Amino acid sequence: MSQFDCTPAELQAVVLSRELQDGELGAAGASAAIPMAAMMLARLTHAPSLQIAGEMFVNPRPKQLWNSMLDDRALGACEAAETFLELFGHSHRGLDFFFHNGMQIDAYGNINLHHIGGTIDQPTMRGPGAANISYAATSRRFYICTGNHSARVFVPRVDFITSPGYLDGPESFQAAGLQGGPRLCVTPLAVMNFDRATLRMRLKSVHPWSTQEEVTARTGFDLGIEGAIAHTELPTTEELDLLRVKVDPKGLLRKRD
Amino acid sequence: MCPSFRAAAEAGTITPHCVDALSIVGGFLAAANGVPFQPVAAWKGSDVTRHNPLIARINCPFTGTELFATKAIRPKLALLHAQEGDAYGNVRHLSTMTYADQMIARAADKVIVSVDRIVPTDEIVSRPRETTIPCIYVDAIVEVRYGAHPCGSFPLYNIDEGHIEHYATLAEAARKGGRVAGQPLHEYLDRHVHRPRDQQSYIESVGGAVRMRELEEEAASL
Repeated sequence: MSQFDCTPAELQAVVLSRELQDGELGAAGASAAIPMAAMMLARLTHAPSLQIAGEMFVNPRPKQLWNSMLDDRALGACEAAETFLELFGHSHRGLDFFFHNGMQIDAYGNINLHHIGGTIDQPTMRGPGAANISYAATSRRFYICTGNHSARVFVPRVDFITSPGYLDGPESFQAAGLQGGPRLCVTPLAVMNFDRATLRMRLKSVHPWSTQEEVTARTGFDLGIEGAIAHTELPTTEELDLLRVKVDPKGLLRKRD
Repeated sequence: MCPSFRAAAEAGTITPHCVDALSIVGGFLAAANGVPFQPVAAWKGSDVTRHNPLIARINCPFTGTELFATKAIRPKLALLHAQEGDAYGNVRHLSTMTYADQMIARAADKVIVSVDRIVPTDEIVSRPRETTIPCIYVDAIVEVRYGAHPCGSFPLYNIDEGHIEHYATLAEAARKGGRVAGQPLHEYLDRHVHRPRDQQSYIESVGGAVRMRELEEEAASL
């Protein structure tokens, strides 16, 4: 990977930042260094009026990137400090975009953070659950961002739906009264989007350090590949400079596992 | 994720409920307002609604629209921590984040607040808008220096991440390896939880004044 200028996490942040539009309102969850970097980078490039308001703060100005978005280290400086009451305020108004990660992610973008194996009452492995599920239903779109692209994560069907993606496809999505849904899934290896007709995840681009074969082997379901798949566009020099100097001076996204 | 919670859930010694922030906060909000439930217009499509003693489906009494309700949560006892308070129990957070503390204080039957320092009531009265929890919701207040440790109390002292990671490593070993692997966790609990007689001896057990000074300097540098 050393011949490439950026780490997978940095590329994920840049890919996501390009998706966010000026003037939109969005938020990231509790453990969300990459989404937070994406929002901060978008503000410094094409979206200076991007608004960040999730759960109990408005427009934070962190001096560096943090793994946790929900304590005073990341949020000590912000334009407004609210309380958890705003969970309802932000939820009912809805956000333009939100980000999710999952222990399991399936072909329809459903997210599982509760348990793997067994039942919810007798789990083989218990997960953390979700801090806030409501944004899945009230956001106009969401992005899936994970640091782990493997067949254990990308399963045909999640064991438990913590946050709904497209459920079982168009009919069930509509029947549940859902709107929005997942737009992209960005991993250390690839970018996936969703087929407009079937709402199934499909491969959009492969990062230059990976291959279509590797992505296929590490995904537990068919990615609807037809023909040649493009490489993910790498960050520009300007994007990478801003990311490293202004957004992530401590290099949280440069650490390689 | 906390390894001891995960281990207890997997062993079946505790029953975790599938709640999220909206169910908890909605429950506190209802209790704080003295009503039996809070209507919620989210959660569609999530399995959480099917495994949750706090959530019921209801219909809007005005339009008939289907939505969810989260049941009021009225804790028998709430333990809160803030940075400052006075002798009457007026509480003032200096931290930016106050989470659900104000709602919990209004929802719980009995509320005990620990603060890093007790300040004179005149100081509270001089800036009443900064009182985050008024004394009428507080049953007892107690000054406990570094009372949030190993968590942080901003802007006074930082989270002791080294200590928490050390604990999490021991707890994960216990989760994975059973009784023998769990011995270091027992020693940890003995040293930091069971043996300290008071806050002073607890602080001594986790690095004393030197460590607390470091955490204060870290918080000041953020």
